[in-house]
Amino acid sequence: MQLKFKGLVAISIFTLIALIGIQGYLIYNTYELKKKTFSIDARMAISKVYYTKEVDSIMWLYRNDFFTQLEALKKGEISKKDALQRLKQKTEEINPGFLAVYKKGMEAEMPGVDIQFKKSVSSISVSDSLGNTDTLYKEDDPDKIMLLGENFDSQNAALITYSNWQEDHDFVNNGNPDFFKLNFKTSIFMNVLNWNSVLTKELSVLFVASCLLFLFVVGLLYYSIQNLMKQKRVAEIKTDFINNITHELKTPLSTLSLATKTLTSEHANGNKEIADGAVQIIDRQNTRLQKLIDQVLQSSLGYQEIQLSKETFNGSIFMNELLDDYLLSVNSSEIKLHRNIDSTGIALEADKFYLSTAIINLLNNAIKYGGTELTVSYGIDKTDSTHYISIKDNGIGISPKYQRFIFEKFYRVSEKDTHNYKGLGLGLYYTKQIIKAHGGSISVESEANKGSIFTIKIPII
Amino acid sequence: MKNILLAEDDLDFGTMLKQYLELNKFSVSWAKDGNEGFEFLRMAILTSVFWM
Repeated sequence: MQLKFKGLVAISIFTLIALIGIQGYLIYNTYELKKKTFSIDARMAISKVYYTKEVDSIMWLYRNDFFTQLEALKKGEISKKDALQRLKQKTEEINPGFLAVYKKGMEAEMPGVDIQFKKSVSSISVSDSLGNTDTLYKEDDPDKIMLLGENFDSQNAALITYSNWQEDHDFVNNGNPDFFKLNFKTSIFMNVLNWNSVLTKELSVLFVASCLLFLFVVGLLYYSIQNLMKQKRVAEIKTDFINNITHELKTPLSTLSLATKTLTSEHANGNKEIADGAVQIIDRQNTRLQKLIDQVLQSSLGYQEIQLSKETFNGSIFMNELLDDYLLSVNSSEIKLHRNIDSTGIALEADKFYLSTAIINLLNNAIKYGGTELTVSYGIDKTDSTHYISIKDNGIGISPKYQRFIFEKFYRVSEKDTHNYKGLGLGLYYTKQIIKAHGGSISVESEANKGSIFTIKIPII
Repeated sequence: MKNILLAEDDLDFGTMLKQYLELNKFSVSWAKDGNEGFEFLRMAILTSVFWM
């Protein structure tokens, strides 16, 4: 049973870990998918903004200027470096205008998303009518040329597209018609600055819902295991109770059976001494069975069903009388009982019969579990305005792990060293019900092998 | 007469059983706890043991 239970807990924990793994994997996949979708949306938005007449007219500003520079280059009026420098200057001039158009367009397409745009030169070459190609700029040139947008590191950015501007250009060179072919390659990049905040915002509902669902499953599992443990404990307690009551009933019944056999035996016939002894035993066993049945019946009462007949009396006198009577009923030579009874002067309102039963139960328990030196105290606790009755013993004590269960119905501490103590696990339960019926409380302080202190508190009326 | 060791902690049941066995011609040694029972076992030769 214990192994089965541990196995069940282990499987539950394993399932929970697997659930966390699957949940994490699904959230990660959703994140990646969202990122891809977002990237596609961003490209489409950029396309919408970029491929417009307004942007095209801005770009023709540097294109026309660049043709003029290339003509000058062909005529030998400027160097390649000058031509490129002029291209840079021109694009720097028109870039603010482009950025204003771009940002306005992007704000309309994807509001709240900060996407940087960059169009840079990959290579520039010019071919003449004879097919000779002159390369003005190569991609690996350390002096990078940015045409439009914002200058960011391309390595961490996403490439949107390559474009190739090829155009034949006729011009007059020293009075003669001339021609060149331009091959102008560019790359367009985008860089999303707030990837994480955009995606986190989009996934936040999913993430929070997953966390809540997970917490709910953990809570449900915890509740189920707690419930299972409780059920298991109840089942064990009931089995223990049945075993105990069977044993408690079997002994007097066997004794009665033997007594009857003895009385009817031909050997005992006419022997008055044997007959008297057997009759006395039958009487005692009858009382014993009656008490046992009463105890079981009483224990079925909850504190709400206990009908109290309260009266007001002096608690100090009551306690002294109760202890005097109790000492007469036990072997007082083996038990040392110390009294610490205060003359409180404050009346105690309680049902004498039930309160006596509760205190005697505690005294009996103290002796039953090895107590030989008992200290009974009575007084007023001014901090919470209650009458307190405490019973301290030097018995075997109760390990802290069992203390919270000892007032439960049928519960008995079942450690190896306490198997020898007979009982049904009803005494402390019934005592607690009596005290609760009085509106009071009962608590225990104990340490294994060092004794226990049970304290009853009844409110001052 | 056969000897029987009776180990029983219940006073009334022990008394009755001892008496009943004696009426039926057994000699009964009654141990009221386990330690006492082992003492009897060490000392005596017994026919049967009733360990209750």
